[in-house]
Amino acid sequence: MNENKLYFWLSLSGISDRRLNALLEICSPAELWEELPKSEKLREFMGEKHSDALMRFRYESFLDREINKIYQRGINIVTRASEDFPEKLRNKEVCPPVVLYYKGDLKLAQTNCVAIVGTRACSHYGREVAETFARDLSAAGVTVVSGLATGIDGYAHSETLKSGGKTIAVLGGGLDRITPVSNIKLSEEIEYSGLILTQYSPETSPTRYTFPERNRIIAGLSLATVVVEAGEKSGALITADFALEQGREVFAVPGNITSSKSKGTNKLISAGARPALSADDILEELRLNIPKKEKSPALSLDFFEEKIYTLLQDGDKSLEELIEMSDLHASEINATVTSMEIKGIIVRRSGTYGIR
Amino acid sequence: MLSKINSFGLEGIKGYGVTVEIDIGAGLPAVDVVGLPDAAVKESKERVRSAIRNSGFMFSPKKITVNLSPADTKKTGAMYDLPIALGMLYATEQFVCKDLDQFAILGELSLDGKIKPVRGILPIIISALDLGCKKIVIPKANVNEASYIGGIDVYAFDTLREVVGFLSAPELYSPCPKIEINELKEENKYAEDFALVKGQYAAKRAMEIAAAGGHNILMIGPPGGGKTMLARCLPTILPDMTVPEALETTKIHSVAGLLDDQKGIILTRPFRAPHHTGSKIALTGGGANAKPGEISLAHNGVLFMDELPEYPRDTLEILRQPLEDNVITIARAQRTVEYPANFMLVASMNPCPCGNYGSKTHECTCTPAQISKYMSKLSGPLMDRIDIHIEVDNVSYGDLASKNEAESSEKIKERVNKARQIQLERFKGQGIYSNSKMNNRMVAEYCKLDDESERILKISFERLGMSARAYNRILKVARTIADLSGMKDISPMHITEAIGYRSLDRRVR
Repeated sequence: MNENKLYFWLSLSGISDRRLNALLEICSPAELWEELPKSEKLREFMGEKHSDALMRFRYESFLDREINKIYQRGINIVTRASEDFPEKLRNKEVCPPVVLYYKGDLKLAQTNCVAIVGTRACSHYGREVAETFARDLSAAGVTVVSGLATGIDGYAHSETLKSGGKTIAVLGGGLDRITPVSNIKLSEEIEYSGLILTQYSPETSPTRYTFPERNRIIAGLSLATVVVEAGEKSGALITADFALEQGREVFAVPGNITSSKSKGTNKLISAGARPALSADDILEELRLNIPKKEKSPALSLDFFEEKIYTLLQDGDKSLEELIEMSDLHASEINATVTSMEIKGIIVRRSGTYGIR
Repeated sequence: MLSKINSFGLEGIKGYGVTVEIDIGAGLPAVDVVGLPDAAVKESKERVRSAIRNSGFMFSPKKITVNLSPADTKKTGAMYDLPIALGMLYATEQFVCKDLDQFAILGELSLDGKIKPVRGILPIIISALDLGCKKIVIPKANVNEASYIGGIDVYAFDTLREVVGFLSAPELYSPCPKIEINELKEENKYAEDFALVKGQYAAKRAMEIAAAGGHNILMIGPPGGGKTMLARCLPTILPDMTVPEALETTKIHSVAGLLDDQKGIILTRPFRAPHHTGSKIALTGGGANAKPGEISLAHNGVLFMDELPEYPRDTLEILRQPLEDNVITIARAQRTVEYPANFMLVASMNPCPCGNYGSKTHECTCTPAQISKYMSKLSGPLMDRIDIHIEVDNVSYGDLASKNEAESSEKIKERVNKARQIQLERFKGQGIYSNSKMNNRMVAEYCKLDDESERILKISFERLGMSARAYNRILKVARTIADLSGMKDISPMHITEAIGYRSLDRRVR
C-alpha cells in the first residue's frame, strides 16, 4: 500500500508524536500495518486505546474515503513519506508529526523563515515592534512565521501581508476550526498569498494542550524565533524553549522593566537570549542579506516643523507636551503635527507622536 | 344658563385653542366634565367647587355640564380649573362681563381660591398671539415668562376673586409691563472657569472650536485626565443665545415645567448631563403625556454624555436621528408631538474598560476582546455624527502645581462670540445658526478650498486611511477654525488642524 496512506492511518491513532516517533524508529509503517493484528506485544506497547483505534481504521477503502473527504474541502495533506514534507521539520529534535494539513503554498516552508511570536494582550509598543520587524524582515525576503493568535501574532501576519511579504501561520487546531473567529478573514488572506498549516485534522478544536505542541512546529520551521512581548507565563516562552532545544536562534525584544508584558522577554535576555534591537540584528546573526535602505532625502522643514522635529528627537511626546515645550499655540501645533504626519515625517502612536 | 370661555391646551410646544363650555340646568346636583379630560382635568370639579365656596361665591346645586371643545382631543393638566370656575360663576350670573369672549383664561386653582402656576405658559402665549388672541389671563406666578412676548395684553392674578373683579371692569386695569429680552444680559454666574483648568491646551482649543461652530465633540482619555472638568467648563464659553434661540429653549423648559419662576426665560445655553442609567424615554422624551426629554431640554445648548460606551447601545442609537434632523418626533397612542432637539453633543470616554490603554504611566489590564467590545458600543453611524475627536491626556504634576493662570473663559468666549457672529451673518435667513448644521449644499458653497488645501486633504485621506464620511466633517470644522481666526477663506493650516481632530477615524487600522 501507498506509504502516504499508511502515515495518514497512523495519524488517526491519537497516539502522541513522541511515542509514535519512538515506534517508527524500530519499525516502518508498512510493518506496523502487517504486524498490528498479529503481535500482542506491539498492541501492548501502544496501549489499548490507540491500538484499538488503529485496528478500527485498518481498512484501505476507509482511508481512501477519509483522504478524499479532506481533499474535497480544499485542504491538502502532506505526509512524511512525501518529498514535499518540510525538510526542517524532519529534524529529530523537532519530533515531527507524521502528517501535515495545509492550505496555500507549501514551498514557503523551505524558504528562510523567522518566527515572530508574543502575547495576545500586547501593548502599543509590542504592536509597533511586531509590525516593524515583520515589515523589515519581509523586505529582506524572509518568511514570517507565527501562530495566528490575536495580538503580536496577528499583527506580525497582517503587517507582512500588507508589505507584500510571505507569511506562514501554524495553527493549534484544525483548518476548519480557526480560532479566534476574528482572525478568519486574516487566515483567508494568508491562505491566498502564504501558507497556513497544522498537524491537526480539519475538525480538531484547539485545546490548551495543542497550542504548546504547535509551538514546536513554529520554532522548527524557523531559523530564529523572536519573542516580541511576553508575560511571565506566556506561551511565546514555550516557543522560545522549543527553539533552543532544536538549536535555533532565540531573540527577545527588550522592554520596559516595569511592564508586566515584557517580564518574560527581559528574563529571556538575562538568561542569555540575544536582544533584538532591530530586524538587522536578526538578519546579521542569520547571515542573511540586509537590504540597503534607501537614504531618505534631506528633510526640508519649515519653522514650526523644525521646532517639533527637534523636540521629538529625544523621544515620543503627546500633543500636550509639545505645546508646553514649544511655546507654540495649540492650533499651530495641531496643524503642524498633522501636516508632518501626512508628509510621513512623524507617526502617531495612540496619542503620542514620534519620528518615523 | 350657558357660558363659553376661551382657553388653551398644549400639544408638544404648540398651543391650541380650547373652548370651555358650561351649561347649568335642572336635574340632580352633579358636575360632568366631557371632552376627553384626563384625571387631572376630571378632578378639577372638586377643586373648583371648594375654590368657589372659599372665595365667597355660591356653587350652584344643579346639574352642571362642562365641555372642553374640541371634544376629540385629549386634555391634560390643571390649567382649566380657572376657566371652569369662571364659567360657572358667569353662567349663574354672579358677575357680569361685557366681552368675555375677548379673553383667554388659564390657571390652576387651589381649594382656597388661590391661582397656581401652570406649565407651558410661554408656548401657549406665542400660539395665542398667532391665533389672534389679544388678551390673556394667567396665574401671577407665570407672569415672568409671559412678559417677553409683545403684541398681546397679559393680565396676571393671584386669586379667583381678583379675576372676577377684573372681568367685571376690565377697563380699570392695565396689562402687565413687557420686558425686552435685550435688557437682560446675564453676567456669568458659573462656578467653573477655564482659567482653573491647568494644562490641556490642545483640549481647550478643541473645546473653543466646538463651542464656536456648535460641533459635536468626543473626548477620549484615561480617567483623571480632566475630561469631565473640561465639559463642565464648556457652558462658560458657549456663545450668547440669540432671541429666537432663547425663546425656543424657554418654550421647551416651560412645557417640562422646569422654568425658574423668578427669571421666566432662559438666557444661558442649557447644559444637560443625563446619567447613563437613565432610560431611553428620559433621553428622548415621551411617557403618557409625551413630555420633552433630555435631548430637547438641551435644545440650543449642550448634551453631555460622560462615559459614552457605558450607555446602553440602543440608547445611543436613538441619538442618531435627532443629531441629523435636530428634532425628535414622539409618537404615542394618544398623540404625536415633535420637539426641537438641536443640541451639541459632548461625550467623553476611556480608551478601554480599565482606562489605561495607551497610557504611558499605567498599564492596561484589558484583553483585546474587552477593548474591541468596548469600542464596538459606538456604532459607525453615531461616530459619523461627531465632528471633533480629541485625546485628553493626564496632566503632569508640574502643570497642576503651576501658578500660571490659564486663559479665562471670558476671553475665550469673546472669540467664540465673534466667530458665531460671522456665522449668524452668513446663514441669515437660512434657518441655521452655526457651521455644524450646514447641509451639503451649504458646505459646497461656504467651504471652498484652494488647490493647496485640496491637495492636502486628498493626500491625508490616502496616507492616514481616513473614511470618506470624514470629508464633510473636516470641511465644517475647518470653516469654524477659519471663522475663529477671522479669515474669509479656508487655508491649508485650517485644514490640517481640522484633520488633526479626526483621531478615531484612524485608530482602527
